[in-house]
Amino acid sequence: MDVDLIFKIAAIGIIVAVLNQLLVRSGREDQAMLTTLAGLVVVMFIMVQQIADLFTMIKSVFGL
Amino acid sequence: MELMFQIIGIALCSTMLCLVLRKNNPEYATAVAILTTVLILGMVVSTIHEVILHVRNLAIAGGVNLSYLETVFKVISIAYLCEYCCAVLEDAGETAIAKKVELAGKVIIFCISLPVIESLFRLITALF
Repeated sequence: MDVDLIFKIAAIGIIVAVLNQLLVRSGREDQAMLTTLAGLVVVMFIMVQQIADLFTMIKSVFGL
Repeated sequence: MELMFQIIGIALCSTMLCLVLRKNNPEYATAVAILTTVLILGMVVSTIHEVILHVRNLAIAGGVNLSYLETVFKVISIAYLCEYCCAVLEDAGETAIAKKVELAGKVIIFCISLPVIESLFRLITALF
């Protein structure tokens, strides 16, 4: 679990925001929403993995 | 000491990132907050590992029943996790879900500690 992960998520968020703005301005709003959703799915995959790691660590540290 | 500095640094950095992200995509801000809290909690928990080993050795040396110690550890970890989840959810604006998670934590802690209370009552009634 690294600090880099936080920056990765922030970078994904900023890129998705920029792409969103671009697509909305050029009139393709449905593609903008799809991009946002795709970014969210990627971020959620990473998040779920980290949360699972956290739970495993808590189990092993507390010896449960 | 370095751990405290690291944690403060990480927390401040991700606060700024959250603020930047919250205007355009609030969901990414919540994701950054969740990941930061997971990271900080992980660092704190791996520091506590030593303390828990010491407590376990002390309990074995003092002759305390180990199953009671396991119950105490379970209750502590449930309290930590519940508090963490409630804070994140309240930050995301879902106060209702946060309150229900808190209620679930209280109920689970009570159910887990029931055998200990039972054996305490048995001990007390055995005295008379």
